[in-house]
Amino acid sequence: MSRVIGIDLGTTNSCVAVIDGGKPVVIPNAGGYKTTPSMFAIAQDGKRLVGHLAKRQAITNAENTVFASKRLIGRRFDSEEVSRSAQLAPFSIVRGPNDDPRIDIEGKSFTCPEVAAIILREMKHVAEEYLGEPVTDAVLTVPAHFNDTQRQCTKDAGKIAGLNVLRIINEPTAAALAYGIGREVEEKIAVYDLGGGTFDISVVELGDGVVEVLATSGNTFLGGEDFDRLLVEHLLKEFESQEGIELGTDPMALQRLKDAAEKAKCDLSAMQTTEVNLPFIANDANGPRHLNLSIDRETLEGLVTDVLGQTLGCVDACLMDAGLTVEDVDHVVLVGGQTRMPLVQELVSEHFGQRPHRGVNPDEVVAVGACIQGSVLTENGGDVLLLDVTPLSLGIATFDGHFATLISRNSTVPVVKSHIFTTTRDQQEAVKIRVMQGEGEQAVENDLLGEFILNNIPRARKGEPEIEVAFDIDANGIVSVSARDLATQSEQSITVSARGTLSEEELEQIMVEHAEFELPKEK
Amino acid sequence: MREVEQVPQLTAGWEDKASALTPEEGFLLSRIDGRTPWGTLRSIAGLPEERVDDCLEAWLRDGLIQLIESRKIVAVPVGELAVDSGLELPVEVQQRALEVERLLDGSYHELLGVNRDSDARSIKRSYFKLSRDFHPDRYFGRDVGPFGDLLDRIFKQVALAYELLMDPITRTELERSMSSAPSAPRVQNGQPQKFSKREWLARMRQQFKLPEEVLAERRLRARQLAESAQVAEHQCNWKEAGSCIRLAIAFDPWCDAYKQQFAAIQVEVNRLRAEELLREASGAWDSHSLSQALKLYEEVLHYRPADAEATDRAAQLCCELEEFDRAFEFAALACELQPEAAAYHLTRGRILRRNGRRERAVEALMTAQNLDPQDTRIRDELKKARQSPTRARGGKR
Ligand SMILES: Nc1ncnc2c1ncn2[C@@H]1O[C@H](COP(=O)(O)OP(=O)(O)OP(=O)(O)O)[C@@H](O)[C@H]1O
Ligand SMILES: [Mg+2]
Repeated sequence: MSRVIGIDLGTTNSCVAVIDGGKPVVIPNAGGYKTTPSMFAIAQDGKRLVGHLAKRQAITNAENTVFASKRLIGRRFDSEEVSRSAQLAPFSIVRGPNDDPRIDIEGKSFTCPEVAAIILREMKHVAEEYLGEPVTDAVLTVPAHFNDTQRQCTKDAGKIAGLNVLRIINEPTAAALAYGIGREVEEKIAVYDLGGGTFDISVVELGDGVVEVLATSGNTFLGGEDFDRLLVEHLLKEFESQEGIELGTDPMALQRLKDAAEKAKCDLSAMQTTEVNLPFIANDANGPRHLNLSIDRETLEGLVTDVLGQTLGCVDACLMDAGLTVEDVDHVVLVGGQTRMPLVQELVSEHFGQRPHRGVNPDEVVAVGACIQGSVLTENGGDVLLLDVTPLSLGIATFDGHFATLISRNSTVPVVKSHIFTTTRDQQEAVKIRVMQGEGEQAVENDLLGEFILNNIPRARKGEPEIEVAFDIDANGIVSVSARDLATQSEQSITVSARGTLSEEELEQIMVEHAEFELPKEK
Repeated sequence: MREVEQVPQLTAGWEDKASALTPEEGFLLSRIDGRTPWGTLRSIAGLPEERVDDCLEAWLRDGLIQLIESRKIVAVPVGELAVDSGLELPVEVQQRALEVERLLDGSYHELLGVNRDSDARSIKRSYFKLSRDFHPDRYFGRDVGPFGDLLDRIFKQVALAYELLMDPITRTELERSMSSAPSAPRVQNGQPQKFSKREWLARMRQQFKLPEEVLAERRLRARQLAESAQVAEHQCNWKEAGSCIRLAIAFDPWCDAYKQQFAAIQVEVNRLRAEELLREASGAWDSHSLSQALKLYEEVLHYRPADAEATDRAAQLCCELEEFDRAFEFAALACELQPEAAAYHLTRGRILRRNGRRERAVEALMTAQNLDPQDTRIRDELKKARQSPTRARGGKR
């Protein structure tokens, strides 16, 4: 079997690792960087650019440069998250035929799995260059709080990129695995992962060669991008009050601002104040205008405290699910670039009453964990076993529109659970089983994964028949549901093949198209 | 001998025929719900099996109950698995899997290889061990033939057992049902039940699913029992009160007031028990059975964790038995519970001295002396401490 790579497909940056000589190695790209920007662009001459090459030309080609597309993947076009992304994105986001968001650049429409695939293919190339051999097997990571559709879309992306995706694992879990490997002690750790687009918190117990996830929680739409957005909004306001000019409509100006805001944000992690200088940012009757503002750390901190407060709310919820308090946590591990911000570190220290553990690389640890899981699976690595959980509750819609949970969130997978339901009308002969995922009490608040009908129920008064509904999640996260009438033993079942936003045919077609693309190597 | 699968059900006019039942019989009756088979009743009624049989037979004769056909469900044949050396699964693992398969229908404790005294840590250990052996990821992509299914089933069941045993509530429930029924079958209709904690508790309650009239009758019965419990309470007959209220809860498990009443009675029962234990403990001490006395004091502390005096006694006993670490723990706790009591600081000082920690001993004894300057025992002890050698060299004075 060829080697298995682990890819952390991040909102902002992606990273690939492999086990080499018995040790996990983070693979640098051709430019020597261990992470690659998750950006994709089509240049004026029609060339496709990925990673640093795309990033470098982003300002001059803002409308044709895609970033942070992970925030769109697997969502509905009408969702709040998509419209929030669309507000600030210089590229255009349009409604696809399956009500999915698609990205239009240079007159071509890309689905989100396609964009992800382009980045994955780049990471695959990076690994192949380094190893000098073709690579197909991969373990990919996703935010723990991704739902089934988002996971399936990520899997589809892998397929389009020519990868055989052995497993999708959760980012904080991967980090815990990388942290825990080779540690002989029994301990409970909390992984606080604040990246570019998402926030995850997981509480994990280590010991006896087992990494057991106790609980996980998070927000798939909260990350460094939001910090940037808040800072951009602040700069826009300042500029408007100084110069009386609105910049929000000019894509190039927006892109420059976003770029400058991110840089300023990172600078403020090391310095108390910084300058944002953007000459010739606008033009009006009075001639060219320059943006020249200074920001201090307190201003930035003031802008983001609300957002950070939300992460601490997730932390508490997660600890509660794990049945623990902050005192039970032996170590806190910080993951994700945004945790470099001093305020984040302070808040986390204060919340847990201890300094976070230093010693894992917050940018690389997720990819490392993914490649470790790859080797565990393929070499049946005797060292460590990962017991992961399902992050969202699974259940069915009841006749009165409620959601009945069958497998509650944070159950260790694989898992099977069953429950007895009954009919609600006299002489009812069939029931519809609607399989849903989510935490809402009302069925409509949750995602529909699939539905089927159990018929041939013997006629009886309402409430009399006993229908056993069993939910099963296997180690690969595949959900199957069966319903059985206990009296007649008649049974129906479905495999809820999580649906991505692409149909089978579309996927096939895109795979053919993409197989032809040879991307220019990163210089 | 009755068929164990037969299911007794209350007949339409059972109320008229149910004259003067003893509490035990009442309890058995409360368990008859038209679902629970005869065999199960034998094991959940908390009565000897023969008594259950006798009662049921008698009620059957009197027309109180009738037997109905159980809805028998054919077990899905599991298929005989055999060890196959051609598979990419070590033969030992196959053998172990087959062994564990037999446990799948037994108790959760057996499946995890733990017992009622096992602490959370050892339960976790065996869960981790079983996971390392049987989690499907261990055999990812390998040809394990029909064992794939089995491994999957084992892991799921092991994970469920772990979940239930790690939760104090479900664990207590499980162990309670074990004590009244050592071999309570967890298997229904040939298929192991697969319930989550919540569903499992709901199931337990579902056994009381009965028509409204019957429920009303039960509630009445429960109220009467609760009243008897109150009477017994007034007479300070706590044992009687306890068993009455327990029965009331069995008849009407939905009424929280009974549970509160039960808790209140329990407090009294515990108080009495603790006093009894205290008497026994000081008796044991007087007759120099030190370790027996210690055990009894520890039990007292189980009921009265904030009892400083008993804590102090336990400390003294540990000290006599030269278990200094524990002695010190108890002594420190006593001082914490009642920081103003000179005697407890004296105990602490003495333990420290005997354990060769002179400086800390002197410190503790000074505290004691400040609190009670008249006490000669403290003065003597302080003198001894000052003269004692320290175990670890390096006293300043
Ligand atoms: N020194 C720094 N100070 C503050 N923020 C930083 C610093 N370095 C990087 N960041 C921010 O971290 C974010 C990127 O983090 P990271 O690469 O971990 O995210 P990602 O893995 O791509 O995203 P996700 O995991 O959410 O999908 C960006 O928003 C970036 O601005
Ligand atoms: Mg990340």
